[in-house]
Amino acid sequence: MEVFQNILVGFAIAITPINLGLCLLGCFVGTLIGVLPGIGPAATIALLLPVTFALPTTTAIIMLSGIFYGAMYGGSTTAILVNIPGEAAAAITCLDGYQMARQGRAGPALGISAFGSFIAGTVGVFLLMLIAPPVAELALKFGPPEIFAVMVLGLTILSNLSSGSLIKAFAAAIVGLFIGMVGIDISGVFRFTFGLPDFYDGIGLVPVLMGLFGIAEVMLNLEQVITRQVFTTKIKGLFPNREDWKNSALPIARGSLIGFLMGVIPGPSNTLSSFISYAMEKRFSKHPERFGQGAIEGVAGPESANNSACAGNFIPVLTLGIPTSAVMAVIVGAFIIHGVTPGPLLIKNNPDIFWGTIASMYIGNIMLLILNLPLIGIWVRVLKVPYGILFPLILLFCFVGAYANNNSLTELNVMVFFGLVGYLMKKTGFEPAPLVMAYILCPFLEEAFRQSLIKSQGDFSIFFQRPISATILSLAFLFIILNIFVGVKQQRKKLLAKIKEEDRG
Amino acid sequence: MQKVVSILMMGGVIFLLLGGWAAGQEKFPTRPIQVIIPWAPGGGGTIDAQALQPHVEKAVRGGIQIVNKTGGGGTIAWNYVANSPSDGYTVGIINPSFILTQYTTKTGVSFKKVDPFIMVVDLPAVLAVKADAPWKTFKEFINYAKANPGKVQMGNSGLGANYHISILGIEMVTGVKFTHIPFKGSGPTITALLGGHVDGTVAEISSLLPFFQANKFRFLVIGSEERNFTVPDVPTIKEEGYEQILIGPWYAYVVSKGTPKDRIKILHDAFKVAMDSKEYRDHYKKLGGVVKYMGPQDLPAFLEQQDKDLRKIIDYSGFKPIE
Repeated sequence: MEVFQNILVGFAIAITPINLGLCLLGCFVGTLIGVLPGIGPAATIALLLPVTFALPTTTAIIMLSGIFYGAMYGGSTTAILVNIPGEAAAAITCLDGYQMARQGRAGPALGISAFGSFIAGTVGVFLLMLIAPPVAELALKFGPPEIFAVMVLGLTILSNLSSGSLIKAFAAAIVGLFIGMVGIDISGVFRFTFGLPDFYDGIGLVPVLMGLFGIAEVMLNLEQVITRQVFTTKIKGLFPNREDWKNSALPIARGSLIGFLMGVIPGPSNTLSSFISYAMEKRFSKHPERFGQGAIEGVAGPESANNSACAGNFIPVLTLGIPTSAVMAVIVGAFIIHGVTPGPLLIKNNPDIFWGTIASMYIGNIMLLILNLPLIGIWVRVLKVPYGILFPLILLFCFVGAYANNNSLTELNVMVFFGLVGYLMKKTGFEPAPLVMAYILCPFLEEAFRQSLIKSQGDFSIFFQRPISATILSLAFLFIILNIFVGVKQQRKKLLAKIKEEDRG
Repeated sequence: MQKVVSILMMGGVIFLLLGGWAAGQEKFPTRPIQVIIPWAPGGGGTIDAQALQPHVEKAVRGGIQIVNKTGGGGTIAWNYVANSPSDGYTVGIINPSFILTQYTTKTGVSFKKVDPFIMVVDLPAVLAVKADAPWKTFKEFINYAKANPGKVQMGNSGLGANYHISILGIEMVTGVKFTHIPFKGSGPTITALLGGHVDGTVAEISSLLPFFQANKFRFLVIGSEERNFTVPDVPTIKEEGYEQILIGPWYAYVVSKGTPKDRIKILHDAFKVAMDSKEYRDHYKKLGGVVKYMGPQDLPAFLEQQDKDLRKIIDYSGFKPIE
């Protein structure tokens, strides 16, 4: 029971007044920047890093980690209230969260996302504590072919992300893949950059998201000033009721598990895990037609997934010193500037940092829950702000956020452009979620595919010879077959019902 | 009410006058100095600037603002610095990529368009393989690669990026041929090497050292003129009997061409104080970085030499930006 001894020592470190105080500060700042669209945890942590110079290393890491998982709590707030994902990982929460808000159920949506985040965050930290080193070793087995297989699996769930026409969903996904290809590819070819250096590293995720969701939503709402009554009439309850809990329990459990596993694998894990969780809930649901119309499962699952992915994210960093995401790269930077080298020896050489940080995550998650629940009442009131004031404010936050992201004016233009695209898509019945999903996956998919083929000198069998990638690819294949099967069955049912009706008539 | 307004106006006039007076005194800096970092937060360049920051701030008695402006392989930030007003308020950080992007991108900035004022550190690159790899020495490794052209798979941090050119440099001086597998940055490359998905890689010593110390990687050769104090047993390329090529990043700070000499001196002196601080030296002691000073007189010639050396590797490999 060495783990429990260690974690007790960790708690002893984490509950010193200074560590508690800065953990709270980190969580608070995290929630705040999570709520603000555009300004992400990576930029914030980098910005606040110099402030931590005077602090002991453990304290600094505790605070900076708090910002990261705090942001995942806050990210859903604007997604639910005004359809702008505060973080990329919350993009999928827009689908059902925003619909819930429109039906006057913003409170339960925010509530379940806070509780789900708390549960998943705690489960994630628990798993991190117990099985970090073996999981990290397993993650190393994921070379290019395995990562390619994971991305393919990700793409097969596309069909479950849309509630409308399947063909339109695939069309949107292809556009997404295309956007994901802009920039310098791994062999140094400049693709679709129009000679603009701003596009060399691809089109920024933040402005695309804010354009497709935020700006487009504002434009759509401008058309419908008359119907605003629907939105503001009644707010039904601030907390999830018993039925909400019943519907959310399993999604939260599944989301926690998926998030944690995805978090360990290199790639856009926070975002991908929330998308996969959403698709899975829709798949398992007895009423998939409710998704996109304000199903609480569609909020509970993804919000849980992205929080436990945070814990998963920490595994490669704390056990191997390898960052798998931009945020983690900054955390590694924080370690280095404090004179601690993150790497395979961290647990051995600096057990106080390792266990102190993990213990602080338990505390931080409780703090975040306490911090977020009373806020729900305030957030819900945001919806009562007249549109004449709310919309300009949303636009202002979008513009500031898009600029602050990389101090670049081009990103503002990108945001406005994708605002128009999003508006036209909505008008013509296309949904942004499949586009975003494909766009996020594309660079990883392509990179892993090409790396694999360079490795095998053009031999495609590399994907099927390696056990992990072969298994994942067969899963993806099964998933497609299952989808076709279910689709055929549904069509059959529909046709049978039609025939019956015709017989009767 | 009128009284309040007039007092405010009076105050405004005095403020403006004071401002003019301050300008007349040629005080520098009177507002925060921006340090533009072409790479994402968390990387070596940002960390170097952050390690210098508190000491520079104390020395210039003003604020330093670290701004990450990524994209274009660094050229967006470097263009921004080169085209900023020559008033000393916009400082850029450069490393060998600055020289390389002249040839690997269409938007690269000529090194003649900036005034470099200080070099602070030199981080040698090392060639790493897994600790259980069959090659114990650089010789064995090169002999194997020579006997099996294309069989050794080297991970790099992106085609045309710093360490890809470094690996090409090793090919140039030893005459071997590797298979190059590009990744996005050093982090993923190191992960791939840990998992055994590539045979070897070249990266700066600071990012590889933890894995060397944990006995996961073996270092075959180091890309500096002298051996490094963190790994005294790892030989240099010259010791191994090949033409010396210097690989690995150094960091230097620049301002746009034509910045007044006195302002460059103020910046230089502040950065010099910062790099001489105990904290800065301690910072690199653990990372294997050699704190190395070069001033505004010697830097242009150094950049010229780097340009020549790197150009040679690029010409050898025939690497060109593909539009």
